[in-house]
Amino acid sequence: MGGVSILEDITERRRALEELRQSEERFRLFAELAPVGIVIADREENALYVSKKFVDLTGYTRESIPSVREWEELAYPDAKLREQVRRHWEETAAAARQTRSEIRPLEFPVHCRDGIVCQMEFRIASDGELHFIIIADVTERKQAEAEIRQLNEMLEQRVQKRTSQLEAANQELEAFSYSVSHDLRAPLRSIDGFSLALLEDYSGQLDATASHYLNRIRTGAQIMGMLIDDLLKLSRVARMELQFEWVELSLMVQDIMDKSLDRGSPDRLELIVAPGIKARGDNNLLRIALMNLLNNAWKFAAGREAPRIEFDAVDMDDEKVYFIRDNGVGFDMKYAGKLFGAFQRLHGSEEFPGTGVGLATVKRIISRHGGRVWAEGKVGAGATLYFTLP
Amino acid sequence: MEEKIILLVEDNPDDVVLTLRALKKNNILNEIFVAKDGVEAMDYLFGRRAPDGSRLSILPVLVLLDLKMPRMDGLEVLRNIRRDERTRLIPVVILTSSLEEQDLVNSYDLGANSYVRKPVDFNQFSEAVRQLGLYWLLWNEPPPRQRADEASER
Repeated sequence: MGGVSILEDITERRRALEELRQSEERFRLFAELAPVGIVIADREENALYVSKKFVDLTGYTRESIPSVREWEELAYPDAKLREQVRRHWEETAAAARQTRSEIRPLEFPVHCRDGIVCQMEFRIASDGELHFIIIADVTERKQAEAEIRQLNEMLEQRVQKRTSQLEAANQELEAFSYSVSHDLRAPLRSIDGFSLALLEDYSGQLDATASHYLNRIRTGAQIMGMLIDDLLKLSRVARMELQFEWVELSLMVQDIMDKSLDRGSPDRLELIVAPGIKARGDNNLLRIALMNLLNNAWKFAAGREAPRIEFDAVDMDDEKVYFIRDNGVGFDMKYAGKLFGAFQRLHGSEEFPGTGVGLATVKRIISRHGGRVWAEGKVGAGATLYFTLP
Repeated sequence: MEEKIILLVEDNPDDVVLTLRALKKNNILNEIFVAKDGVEAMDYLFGRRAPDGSRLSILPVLVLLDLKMPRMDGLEVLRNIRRDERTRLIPVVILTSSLEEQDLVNSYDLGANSYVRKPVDFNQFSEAVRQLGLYWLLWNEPPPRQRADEASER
């Protein structure tokens, strides 16, 4: 009976040992197959197990690094770095022992056996008795990161360079518009003033043709003065800083039509403003844009039997589109693209006065808000100016 | 009768002629001293002294001041006029081509009384000069300090 139980005991034990061996074999296989190097060390920091991958990564076999001491000598030949690693390592190992969980990875440059220095990432865990150390080669990742960083820095430098170039260009523009406003206008005053002086002081000696020519000279000078002023306004629009806020467009349109527009006999105009239309944008600039649009609408509609101007907004493809429509003389769609260029005019200046800067100003303002502006029209059947404000 | 001198500070000879013409055209017959730049204006206002140190120039009742000038610009002249006890209350009208916001801000900042941008159209310019003359020389009551000052200079 006793013999049987001993026999059973032995069988039991053998099976247990076999299971243990199998389990250990499986874990060893698992450890060998892992794409990272694995080292198991005891509390005295003797290497109990060094995985094949670790040898592949570093070139050091278990025999060459019997304990962490030897490993450190080889991996960190620089004494200062070694000291640093050591300190980090001890802190981390102590923490690992305490918490028994994986600790924040450490990274060091490791001198491999073949003399190449690789950036290795270390993770360490502990069950209190043993340290499990996992190492991975992150050299490539580090290089890629460094490259990205370098590229970013280069990009940053390029942006800075471009910005300063832009600032310089802007300053030049500023200086230019200053001298335009000052220096170009002065000779125009002379042309106009002395032409008039001739007309006034020498009227007796001038025949009708001569007077007529002098008047044409004066008109030319005055038009050029207006052109310079409009050009300056346009450049000012481009330079002005945007301040975004909610703008009541409907009220603004009404206000402009009530006060700012010189529109002769207002009673004849049928003004239809859809109420409550708002948009986010710069109050001053949007006012300038609307003023130009309404000015245009009125200019071309004023001669009609029953002039009408309409302001409203519609939804087109998930986008709010604002528009100002008039029933004026309209335009040929063939020229729709030319409408927004500076100094582009589709009508003779005697018929409809203006310098052709109004819609260019509108376009610049809307573009600066990130929006688009376009026009639809038909000769004799009015025009509609659309714009968006994202 | 006390002389009411206008000091015109203007570097452009054409503008000088045209401004004088506009003044004359509008029957503003005050004596006008023309300074061709800021330095000449300073010289007129502060520089001219008799041997005993007393002032030789009669202080103007109105300064028409251009901004952009060689040697010393209009803003500098304005700063000096406002800094000096004797001249700080004299009405100064900026008469310029510039409509740069910075010029406007600086001018008013330094105590300009008016800022007029010279129009290209001479008729408009003439009208501006007429109204300026009418306002500053006729309707506007000059500061009492200046009167006292002027009296003591005599």
